[in-house]
Amino acid sequence: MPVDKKNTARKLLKKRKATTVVVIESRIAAEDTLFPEKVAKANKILSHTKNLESIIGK
Amino acid sequence: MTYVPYSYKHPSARRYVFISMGKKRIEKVVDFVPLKAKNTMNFGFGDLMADGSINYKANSNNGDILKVMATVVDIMKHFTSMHPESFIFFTGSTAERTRLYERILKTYYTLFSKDFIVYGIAGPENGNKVVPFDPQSGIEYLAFLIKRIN
Repeated sequence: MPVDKKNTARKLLKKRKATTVVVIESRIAAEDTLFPEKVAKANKILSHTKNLESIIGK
Repeated sequence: MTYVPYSYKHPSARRYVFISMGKKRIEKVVDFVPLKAKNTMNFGFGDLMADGSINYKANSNNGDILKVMATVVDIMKHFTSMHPESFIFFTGSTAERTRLYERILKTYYTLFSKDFIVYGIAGPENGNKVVPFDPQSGIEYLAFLIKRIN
């Protein structure tokens, strides 16, 4: 292969490699609430806990 | 708990991840979320599925429940050492799962109570009460609250 074609091929390959970046993201974002149902259940139970403030404080 | 816990990762302030290596390889997630009550955090625990969703109702039957529980206790110790003022709330996804947690607490109460004050939440869901956890009693608890002993 002629030198200029080789160079062009190298450049294209380099460009292709540079553009095929695989972005691996964490499957769970830090700000997500993973257990919304359980959090809702917990809040519901504790909202009906008669002596909660005496244990955890006001 | 004499079982050697799995090592875990701590990707954010309130989240922990570890791999259960029983019959299968299962990624487990622990998530602490603040509740409306002061200084109270919900303890969420489940399996991270292949599609990225969380299954907290799964009964994995992975053959390593005590090692998983030892890891969970290790994580609770770490989290509460960072947040000693926090009360950790937890309950099962089903009544059966809550009874399982109660059995584990009863079995390991002597060890667990060295690091934590354990409370049970008893009574009907719409009119319950926090009581000291009694490993000898036959009370069926709705949920549990624990606090680190400083």
